[in-house]
Amino acid sequence: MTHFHTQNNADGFKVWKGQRLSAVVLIMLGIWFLASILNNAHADYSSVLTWAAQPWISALLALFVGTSFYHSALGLQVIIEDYIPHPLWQKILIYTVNIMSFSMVMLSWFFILRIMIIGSR
Amino acid sequence: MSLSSPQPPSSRPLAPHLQIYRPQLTSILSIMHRLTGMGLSCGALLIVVWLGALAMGQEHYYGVTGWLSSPLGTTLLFGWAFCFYFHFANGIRHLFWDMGWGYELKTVYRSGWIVVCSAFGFTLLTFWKILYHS
Repeated sequence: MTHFHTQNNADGFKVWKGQRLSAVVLIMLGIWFLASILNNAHADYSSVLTWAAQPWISALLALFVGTSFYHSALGLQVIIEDYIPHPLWQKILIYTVNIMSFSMVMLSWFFILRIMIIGSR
Repeated sequence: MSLSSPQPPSSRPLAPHLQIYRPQLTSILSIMHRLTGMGLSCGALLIVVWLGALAMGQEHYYGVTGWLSSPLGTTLLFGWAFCFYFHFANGIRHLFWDMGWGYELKTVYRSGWIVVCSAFGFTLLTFWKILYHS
């Protein structure tokens, strides 16, 4: 889109494809997640915990968070490539976004694991 | 005419600078897609906080939900919901374009207005459900 891409065309296509694949997955998981939190909006702690600790629900939550941050990191990368002209800054920012997104997914998965453990007690 | 003349002669075509374009539905929706995507990226952090509170125990969980029920928290959730519905609807519009469908100017505008209406409509519906159907 600009003349400042640090990535080559093959990488660009990988980003494009990953963005669309994760979008299709997020259509389904997004509806599911939103419906779930709307259902749980007025529920008390123990019933939300029991709900989230079910194996299938935990798995879907983990998948949703992972896909969300992946989709988000790819989208932010394209925005950075389009608006940050300096190649070094571009690289630093994309690196930061990727590391932060990865850390957030790992942290979420740790939380979900803990929810599974304390919720099944 | 001097070189420093601020206005180009009116007989010449103007260079297409962004500032002189009349804002159009198409360009606004395109920018909104990126803005709502950035909003959702921040909102994703809220999901991590929510999961963390759920994992850390009752008092943490009620702390977070209590804060989300405050005027500031509710406003943030309102914005998050709007970003979600907008990005969701416009994302589907983009996927149709990727499949080569909907490029006729009339269809582009019609699908654009459907995105705008559903984003506002579903946001209002969501908050009506949360606030009055507890």
